[in-house]
Amino acid sequence: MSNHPVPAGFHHERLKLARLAAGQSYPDIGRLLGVTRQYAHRLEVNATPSPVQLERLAQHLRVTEAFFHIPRQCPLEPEQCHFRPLRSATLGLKKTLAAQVEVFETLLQQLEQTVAFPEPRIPDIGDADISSGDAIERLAEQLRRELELGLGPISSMTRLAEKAGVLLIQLTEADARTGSFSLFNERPLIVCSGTPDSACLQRFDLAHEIGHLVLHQGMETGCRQTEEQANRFASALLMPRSAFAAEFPTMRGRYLSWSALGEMKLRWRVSFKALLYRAGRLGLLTPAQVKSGFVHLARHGHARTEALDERLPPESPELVQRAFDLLDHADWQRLLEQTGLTRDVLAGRYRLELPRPRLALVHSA
Amino acid sequence: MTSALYRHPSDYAPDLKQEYLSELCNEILDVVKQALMAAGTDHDTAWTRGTLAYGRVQGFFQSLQKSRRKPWVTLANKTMDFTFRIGSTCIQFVMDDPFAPRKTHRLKTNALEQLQLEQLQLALGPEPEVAAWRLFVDRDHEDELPGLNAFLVGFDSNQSPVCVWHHDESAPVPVRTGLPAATVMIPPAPVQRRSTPQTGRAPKRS
Repeated sequence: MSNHPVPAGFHHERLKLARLAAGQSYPDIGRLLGVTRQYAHRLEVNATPSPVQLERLAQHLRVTEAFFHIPRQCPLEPEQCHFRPLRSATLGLKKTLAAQVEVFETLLQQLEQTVAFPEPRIPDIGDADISSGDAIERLAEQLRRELELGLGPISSMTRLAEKAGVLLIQLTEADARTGSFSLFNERPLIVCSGTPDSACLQRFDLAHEIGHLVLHQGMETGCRQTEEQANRFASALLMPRSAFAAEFPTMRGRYLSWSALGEMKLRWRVSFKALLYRAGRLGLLTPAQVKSGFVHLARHGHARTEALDERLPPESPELVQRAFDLLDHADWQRLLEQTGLTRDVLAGRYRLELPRPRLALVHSA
Repeated sequence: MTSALYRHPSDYAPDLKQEYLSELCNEILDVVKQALMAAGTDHDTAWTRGTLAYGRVQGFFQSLQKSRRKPWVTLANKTMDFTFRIGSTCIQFVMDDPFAPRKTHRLKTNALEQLQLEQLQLALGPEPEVAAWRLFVDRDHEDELPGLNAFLVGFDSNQSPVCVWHHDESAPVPVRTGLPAATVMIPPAPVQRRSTPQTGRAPKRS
């Protein structure tokens, strides 16, 4: 295999990034270029692609050739992301998602030169002790206080996150296999999983990720304890203890009042399971009562989706799309040139709505 | 956390201190969680999940015994119904629902526990209130919320629960507010174009 002159400023690491973001393996690249997988690997280390190979790579990985000439700034490793400990989220998939987020962060850097997002307002808790439930309750209350939210039900968790300066993005490949996940590099980001089963699950997911952003900055998560802490934070954020305890319906003898719980579910926009979990954590229900509530829900077919879910519409991220909507055609062109990304990737992978050019070439007959 | 209905396990057996129980349950729940994750493939069944989790907990106690990392825990027997001791109190581990146990045979005292009971009766006279301690780990089949709970249950000689301790920490609830709190309406977060000296463009809001 002969080596060609190095294209000016070709960055091997950027080829790796583009390959990972496209979910491609070395054998895939080898087949594409008609070379061995070993050579495909060398292309990311010290070998240099020919102009023809480079063109083919750019086309296949859905970037422009300019993408390979931009230095890789801040590599993002999967362990920096707060992924759910789901077996279906393989390491390969996590690497792909981390690479896609890294690419998006470069896009955001360019975007932020033109557009100003709200400043992040995630409290820095330093080395605060988060081992006790009470400490986590206080941190959730602190966040509500800092965002001036009061103690009532939150109308939109998406807007709450965005108000706190967290950018919510959608990736086509972040789905039920991976769930939502979050990370905090330049600014806090939450990647929302594609199609939530219900608005309640989606809202709890968001609150859980905010929990990770507050509690676990600079920590590797995914173990039982960190997940439980994030769940506890989510519960406390969605349902502050004093307001929740005042409204929680009293038991009718040994039975839960499902109609009253239904009203509470609609008002607080959380699932029955989240209500029971919260009541158990606050000592308003005994563990046996919580358990019997879960059993009741499972027996009535409410494991994933529950009654009344249809009355709560799902939420959608707004801020990032609104920021892109502020760009004019020239801004868009500049953004694409500076990042080496294609319109196809932005629309397909990141689910962004791109402006349609107002002028089009018309071929006369 | 002990329910208001029940006294703390240390009231029945002084060895069962809160800090010992919390520390041990934390580690056991981690072991069970990892086992359930490992046995979460498409080819796993309820049997492989259950046996892997149970076997791993047994292995956990064996390695604990070897390392002497927690000198207050010892493994009393290595049989399938393995029994461990906190101090001198015998406990068996069960993967089941403590409030509606299906493995009722696991509530019966084994030979080791029986021997200990007889010795206690000889030394102290009357039958102790708790005849058998079982550490239950129960799994809620929930995706949204943590699925594992640990309970230490003390049974009397009729296999009725006399003490239930839940490994969890309930948060204190402050004074309850009288009126329901109003829903928090959150407007869209502001985002605007930066006005740069070069362009001199006025900020455009969205």
